[in-house]
Amino acid sequence: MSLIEIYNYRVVSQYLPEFAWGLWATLWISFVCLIGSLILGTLVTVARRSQKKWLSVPVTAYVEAVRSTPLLVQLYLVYYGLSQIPVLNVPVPALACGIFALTFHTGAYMSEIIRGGIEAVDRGQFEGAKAVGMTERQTMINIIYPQAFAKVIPSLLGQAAVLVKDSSILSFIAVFELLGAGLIILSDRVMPTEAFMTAAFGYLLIYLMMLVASNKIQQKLAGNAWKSR
Amino acid sequence: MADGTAQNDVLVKVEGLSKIFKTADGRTINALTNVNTFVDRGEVVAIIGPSGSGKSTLLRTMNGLETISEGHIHIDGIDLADKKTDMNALRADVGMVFQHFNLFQHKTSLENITLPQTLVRKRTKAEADQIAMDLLRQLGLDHLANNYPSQLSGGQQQRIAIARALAMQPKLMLFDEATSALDPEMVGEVLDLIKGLATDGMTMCLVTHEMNFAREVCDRVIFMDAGELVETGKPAEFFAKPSTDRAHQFLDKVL
Repeated sequence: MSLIEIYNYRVVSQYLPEFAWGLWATLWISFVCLIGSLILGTLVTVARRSQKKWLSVPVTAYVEAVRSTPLLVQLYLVYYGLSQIPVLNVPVPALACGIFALTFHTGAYMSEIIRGGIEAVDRGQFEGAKAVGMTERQTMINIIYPQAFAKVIPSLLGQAAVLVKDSSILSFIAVFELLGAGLIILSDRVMPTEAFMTAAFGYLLIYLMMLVASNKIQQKLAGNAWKSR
Repeated sequence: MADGTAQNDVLVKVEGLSKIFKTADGRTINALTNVNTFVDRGEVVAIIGPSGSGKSTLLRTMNGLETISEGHIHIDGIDLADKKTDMNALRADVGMVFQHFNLFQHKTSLENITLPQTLVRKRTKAEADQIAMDLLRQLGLDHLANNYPSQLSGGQQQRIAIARALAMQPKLMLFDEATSALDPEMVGEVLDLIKGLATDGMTMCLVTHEMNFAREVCDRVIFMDAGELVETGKPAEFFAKPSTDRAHQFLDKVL
């Protein structure tokens, strides 16, 4: 049995443009959601730490709701739910729904990671800043958040890797991305191994790229002596 | 200059100060009970006593790191118990040195000293740099300007922390067991620095276990036990002949 019988690379090679497009779509969708979820996660963390109940209670509910329900359910809720809001009588594009749902989902996890980072910062750093007369806001922005983010970079990158894999779920609402490229081979040729193996290779490729980027970032940070402690 | 003559200029006035902590299981702990004392301008006061006696709590209420349950503290006429008092502005005027230094871990020595100046005192970066480098040179630490705290010894970190507080040009310096976390061979360099500040006329309150230092450098000793101010006096008299049994027992143990 030769390789071509298990994995027909000649057929796959005819679909390379589709896969390249799919790979690109997965990359940029993930990137947009990553930036969005980091911003959302930070804002949620700030709100959760607030003394104001009207702010901290709803965002806590949001985090718990996201973490306790499946991503697919959240995606369907956004996709089908938005079209039922009377004011939005224009259909919202699937891609926009997908990016919104993924950002909304990942943001909750990012906020948990960032919150953990803040809790890992030594109490003395708060007191040191307070004792020189810094306001709460100055303390958080200048002292606490920079240290908290540095502590959780590995976890944030791990969550980013999960985000890339989760983005495959957008094929459920017919957004074209890497898995979608595989689905074209499946429907054209009925070749499931070629369809899904190639898509899997694509995800592996992105993962390896992220690993290299992650090592680069870690090295850069390790160069800063304070991190080596 | 602690005998309360008319020309004495009182900087810190503590009146009927009590501090009550509530524990998680709803019990209350009286950390301070009806403490009355004062610190004159230019005076160096040592606060001593057994652990859990409330000496650190007393010090921490003086710059608002602990709230006041009852009574008043006035610093240069400003009432710390008054809810309208701008505590951040007050803290900028009261330097605090901690047992564990609390230097900003992600900033260099120089940045540790300049950041509070630019953020709180609103100095320009150039002004702050100038003040910081002058201080570092004075303290013989200028070669450490670009090091991160984790690259410094405990003694060096503590001296940088003192420089950070001094750069704010405080009216009062508080030291909360500033040498307790240091290796023995590094205690001297920090005490020498504090001694230099005393000579320069800085008003200081020190919670300390260094009895010899208290005897040698301080103008007055405050002895605390179980949240109460038990005795106060000039170090020579206090260490030679304490007037209370509690002070006597404590000194027997530590000397």
